[in-house]
Amino acid sequence: MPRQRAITAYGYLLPSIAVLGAVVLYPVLFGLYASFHDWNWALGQAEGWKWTGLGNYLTLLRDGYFWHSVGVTLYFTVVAVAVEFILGFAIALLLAQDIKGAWFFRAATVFPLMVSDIVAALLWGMILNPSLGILNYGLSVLHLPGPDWVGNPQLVVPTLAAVDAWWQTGNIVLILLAGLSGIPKDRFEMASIDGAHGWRMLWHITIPSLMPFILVALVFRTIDCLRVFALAWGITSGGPLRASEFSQLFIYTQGFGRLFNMGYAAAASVVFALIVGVVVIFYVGPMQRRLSA
Amino acid sequence: MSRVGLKKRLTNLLPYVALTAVALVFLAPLVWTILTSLKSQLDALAIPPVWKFAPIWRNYLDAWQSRDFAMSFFNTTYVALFSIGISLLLGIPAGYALARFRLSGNNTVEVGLLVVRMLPEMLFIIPMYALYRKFGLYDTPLGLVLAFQIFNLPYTIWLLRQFISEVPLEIEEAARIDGCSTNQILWRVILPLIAPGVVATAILAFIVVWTNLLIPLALTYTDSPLIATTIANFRGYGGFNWPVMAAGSVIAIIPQFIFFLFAQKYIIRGLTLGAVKE
Repeated sequence: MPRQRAITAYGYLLPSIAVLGAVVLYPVLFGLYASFHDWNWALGQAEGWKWTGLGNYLTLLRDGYFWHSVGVTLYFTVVAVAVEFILGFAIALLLAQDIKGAWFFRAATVFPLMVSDIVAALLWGMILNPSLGILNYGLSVLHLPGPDWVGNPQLVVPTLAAVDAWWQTGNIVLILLAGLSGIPKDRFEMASIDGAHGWRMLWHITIPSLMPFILVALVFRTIDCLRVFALAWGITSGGPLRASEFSQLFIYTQGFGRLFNMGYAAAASVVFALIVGVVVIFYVGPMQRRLSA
Repeated sequence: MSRVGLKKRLTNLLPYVALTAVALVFLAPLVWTILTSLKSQLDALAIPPVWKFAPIWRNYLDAWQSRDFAMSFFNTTYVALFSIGISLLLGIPAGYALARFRLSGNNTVEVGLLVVRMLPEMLFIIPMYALYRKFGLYDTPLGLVLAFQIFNLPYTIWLLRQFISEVPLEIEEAARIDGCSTNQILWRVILPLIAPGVVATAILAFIVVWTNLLIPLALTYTDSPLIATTIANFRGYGGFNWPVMAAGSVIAIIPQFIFFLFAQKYIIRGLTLGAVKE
């Protein structure tokens, strides 16, 4: 490439790189540095911190509450992504048929995507209220017991996963519908002539053709579920008994949310980012092939 | 009717039954919220629920006038417009460079953009809170405009790169033969061609600002509030003032809803950073 062109190109990139350096890289590095310090604002260390080396990390390794939060987050992610994927896949398959009024059904499933996570939390907080909410009233009409959805430690994570499924299944529907519309019709016809129908068609033709789209849908949902915050913060504040204290909520509480133990919160955010990073790396190869296509 | 015919008709009906059930479940919470937003406080908490009531439109006025709501509404709009302006100004040339120049380190930049999209927010929000307090950016519109670059700049670059790479190279070459400089090609030739993509990107970025909770939660208090945290505060103070909370939620949804309608064609791209196109 001529030198002049290279200079132009870097000139185009430089301002963005500078801004991202200032707003992303600098805070992340600062946080990393802070994580090696005792920096508890609640103990009057806001102005001065004390080097503690790996102290915060060692405490974190032994902090049962942190690992509990990681476990809860993984549990939530697995349940939410599984429900969203199965439901979304089924809806997308139905919508890809010759259905009258498909636009309406599509709009209905996609509509919750337009609601922000915190508004979703407020709506469901009202609906799930054990004594005043509409859901348990509906169940009582059917003579079914209405549990305390978000007040029961056993139920709270599946309940929040269900709320997440309400909120984001449309996401998967949209991605898979885009994939389905791209599969050439004659591929189905050929398979049909060869005697493939129903489940066999799904397994041997539809799913392999959709694989890249399935992958993208799973990646984005997995990572967004791992980072879940607003649903728990808005509905349960992590309770009851920390049963829905997801990792980001744990970090928030350690940090500016309540305890102001900033060095420790920074260390926790680094470790959690590494955990998410492991998941991302697991996906990154296939992702890149997709994105650069 | 023969039994086989009946069975066939039932099978044909099955998808509709399933989809109707799904649509009901998906729409019910929103319908219920709109109903709640029009009830009196007493009716909203009544069990069994009250189905017949005179709509109380005042709830919307109350929500609008309560505490910081109107101020947050405008402040969010203002912060969104400025931060999107900056993202586009920086993102258009950056997207162009990534789309059209084979640079060493191009790949690094692209993977970096993707990583930023996937990092848990706390990794930069915890230190940002500390830094903002130190530098006096806490609770200021300027601080927010800057902070939203974290999400919107990578997002903008990534999407615009895709739109630009879809413009045929021949157009660019023709312009070059006509004596256009690279700058002119970008701003006068490419930009008009990708205008719909730029608008869609701006809308998607607007929705990011409008819906993000963590940035205002970490970086604002009362001087420069954003809609997401103001809405969240309805839980605390009003206690069980569900109608006003519901009305506030509906007001907050409306701009998102309108923008989503405009950007419909590009929503999937936005959700997947362009990995999937419709």
